[in-house]
Amino acid sequence: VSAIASRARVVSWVAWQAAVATPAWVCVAVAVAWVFLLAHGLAHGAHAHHLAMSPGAELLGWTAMVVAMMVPALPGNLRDVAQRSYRSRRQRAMAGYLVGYVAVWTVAGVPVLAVRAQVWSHDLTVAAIVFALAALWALLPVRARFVAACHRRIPLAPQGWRADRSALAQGIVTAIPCVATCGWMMLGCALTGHRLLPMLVGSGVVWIEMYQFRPDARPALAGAALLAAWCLLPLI
Amino acid sequence: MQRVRKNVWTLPVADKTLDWYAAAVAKMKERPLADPLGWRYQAAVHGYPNANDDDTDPLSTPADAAGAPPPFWNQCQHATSFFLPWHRMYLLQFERIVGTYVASLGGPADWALPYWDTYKDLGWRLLPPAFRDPESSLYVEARNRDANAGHVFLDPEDVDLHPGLTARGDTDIGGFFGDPAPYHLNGHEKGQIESYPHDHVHEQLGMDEYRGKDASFGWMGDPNLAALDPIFWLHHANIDRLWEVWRRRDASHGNLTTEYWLQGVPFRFNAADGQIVSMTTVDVLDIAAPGLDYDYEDLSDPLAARATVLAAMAKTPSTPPTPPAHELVGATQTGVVLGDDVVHAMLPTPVTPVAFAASRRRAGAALGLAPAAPGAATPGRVVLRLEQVTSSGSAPAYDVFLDVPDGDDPGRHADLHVGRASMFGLVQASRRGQSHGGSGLTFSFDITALYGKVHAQAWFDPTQLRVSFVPVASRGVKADVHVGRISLYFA
Repeated sequence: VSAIASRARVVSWVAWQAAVATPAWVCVAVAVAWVFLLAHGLAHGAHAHHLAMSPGAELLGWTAMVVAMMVPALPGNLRDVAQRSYRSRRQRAMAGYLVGYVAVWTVAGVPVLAVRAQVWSHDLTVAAIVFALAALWALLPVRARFVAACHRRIPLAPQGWRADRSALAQGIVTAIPCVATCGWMMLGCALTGHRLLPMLVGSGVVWIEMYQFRPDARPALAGAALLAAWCLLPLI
Repeated sequence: MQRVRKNVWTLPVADKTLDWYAAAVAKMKERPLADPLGWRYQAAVHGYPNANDDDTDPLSTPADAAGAPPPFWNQCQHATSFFLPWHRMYLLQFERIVGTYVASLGGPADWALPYWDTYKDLGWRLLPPAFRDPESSLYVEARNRDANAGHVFLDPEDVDLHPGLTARGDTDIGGFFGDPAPYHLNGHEKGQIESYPHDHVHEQLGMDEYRGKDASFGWMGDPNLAALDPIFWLHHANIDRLWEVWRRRDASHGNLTTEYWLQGVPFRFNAADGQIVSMTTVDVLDIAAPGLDYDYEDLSDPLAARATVLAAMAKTPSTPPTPPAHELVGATQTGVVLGDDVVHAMLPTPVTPVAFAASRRRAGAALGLAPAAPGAATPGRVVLRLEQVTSSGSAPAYDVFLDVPDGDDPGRHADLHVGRASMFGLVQASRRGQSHGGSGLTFSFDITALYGKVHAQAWFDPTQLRVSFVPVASRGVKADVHVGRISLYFA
C-alpha cells in the first residue's frame, strides 16, 4: 500500500509540475479541442467511424485531435522554450513552438485524409489492424530513440525574426520524432472517428511516454493492444 | 561493520588497501563480460559502447555473448538530479562486490574503497602511484600519458571546489543538483559538483589518447568506457565524499525533498550475492544508515578558511530561503564555433542590470510585494551559460573569460576567468537519435562576483559583454565544437 501511495504521490507531483508550467491560453486551446471532439462524438455516437466528411472537416478533426492529445504532454518543452526567451517574448516563443509542432502533425494528417476517403477504412477492423501495428512498433528498440528526440533542444535566437524562426524550428524538431513515435496510434484514433475511449487511452500513453525517465515500451504496447481488442469487440 | 573510506594519498606505508583492490580487480578481470560480478560487466552498468554508433568495446572477445544487454547496463546518470544518488548506489554495490573478492582472498572483511582527493595538496593532482605501475591490474594504458608518467596533468582550475561546494541546494541553473526534469536527457542542466571537479578529472585523464576527430579518448574520457579504469571508482568515491562535505559545511545546504527525486525512479543493480536489488534516492541519503554503513576519513570543509572570512564579512545567511528564478537578459543571436585557437564572441545584453531591477520592481508591485530598494545596479545572481554545445569528435576543455579588453591575451587576465568547460561526454550527447536525443551539453557558470568586478571597470558596457574561449592543452587537435548559444541570466 505504501508503495502504491508513494507512486501516486510521484505521479501527482509530475502532473502538478506539468500543470503549473502550462500557460492558461494553452489550457484553453486544449479544452476547446476536447469539447469539439466530444461534441462530434455525441453527435454521431458509435457510428462516427462510418461518417464520410469533407477533407476540410477531416483535417479539422485531425488537428483538434492532435491539440487535445499531444499538447497536454508538452509543458516541459514549453517551459524550456519560455525559460530560454526574454520575459517580453515568452508567450510569443511558446506560440511559435506550438505552431511549428502542430503544423508538422497537420502535414502528417494529409495521408490520413486519403485513407479516410476510402470506404474500406471505415471498418473498425482496419483501426484494429492499425492499433496492432502500433503495438508492434512499440516493440522495436528504434522507437525509443524517437521518444528521446521528442525532448531535443536546439539553440534559440533571442530577438527579431530569428527568434520567431527558431521557436518555430524547435516545435518542428520535436514534432517530427513525435509523429514517428505516435503516428500509428493517432492514425488508429482517427480511424475510429475520434471516439472518446481511444483518444483517452492514446492521451494517457502519450503523456506517460513524454514523462518516462527511461525508455519503457510497456505503456505504448499495452495501450495499443487494448485498443486493438476494443475495436474487435463488436465482431465477437 | 562500518567501512571507512580513506584518502588514497594518506594511507600508511604498510597499508594493504590498494594491494587488496589490485588483487580483487585482477580476479574480476578474469570473468567474462556476461558475469555480473566481473569487471567488464560492472563497468558496463555505467556505460557500454553502442555498436550502432560505431563505438567498439576495446576488450571485446569472441567469447562475449551476443544479444541485448541487461536492462541495467548503460545506466549512468549525468546532467540530471540523479547524478549523485545513482553513483552512490553504484559505488556501494561495487564496493561490496570487491569486498567479497578481498575477503575470499584472505583480506579484511571491512575493506573499503579509498577516495582520490585531488584538492587539498598540490601533489594530490598526480595519478596515485599504484595506478601507474604497468605490472599492476590497476594500470590502464589508455590514459593521459602525463598521468601515467607521474607528471601533473590537472590544473588548479580542473579541481577547483568553490563552484561545487558553494552552490545552492537547488536545481535552478548554477545549482548544486542537476536538472530535475522527469525525463532523462543529456544536455540538460548539470549540477555544479558534476562539472567541478567530476567532469574535469574524467576529461583530463582521457585527454592524451586522442589524435583527431576520429580517434578515441582514453577510457576515462568516454562515459561508455570510464568505469573500466580502476581509478574511476576512487574518483567517484571522492565525488560522493564531496556531496557529504557540501551538505555539512553550510546549514542552508540540504538535499532535494520532492517525492519524485526521493522515490520516483528506482535503479537496479547486481548485489554482491548476485541478486538484483532495486534502490531509490531515499535509500542512500544517510551514509550511516544500516543499509549503507560507511563513512569517510575526512569530511572537513576544504574551503573552511575562505568560508570563515566570508562569514565574517556577511552576517546574512548565504542563501535566501527560496530558490531564485533566473531570467534571460542576454544571448547571442547565432552560435559560435570553437577550434584550437582563441575565439572571442560578443554577447548582447539588452536587459541591462538597471532595466532588470526596474522590471523586478514592477513585477513585485504587481504581486503586492514590498518595493525593492531603488537604484540596485547589480543583480543578486548572475549566471553565464553555454547552451547546446555539440561536436562530432573529441575536443579539449575550454577556459572561458569575461570582458577581456579587445586586443589583450585572455591568458594574462586570470582575474577575468569565468571557469573551465569540460567536454566530458560531449560526443555522446551530440549524437542525434541516441537515447540522449542529440541536444549536446549545457554549461552554467555562476559569475556573480566576476560580473560585479567587470561592472566597475572603465570599459564595461552594460549592453554587451565580450566572452573569450581559450582551448586547454589542445595538443594540436582539430577540434570542431559548436556552442549553440551564449547566454546571460540574472536572478
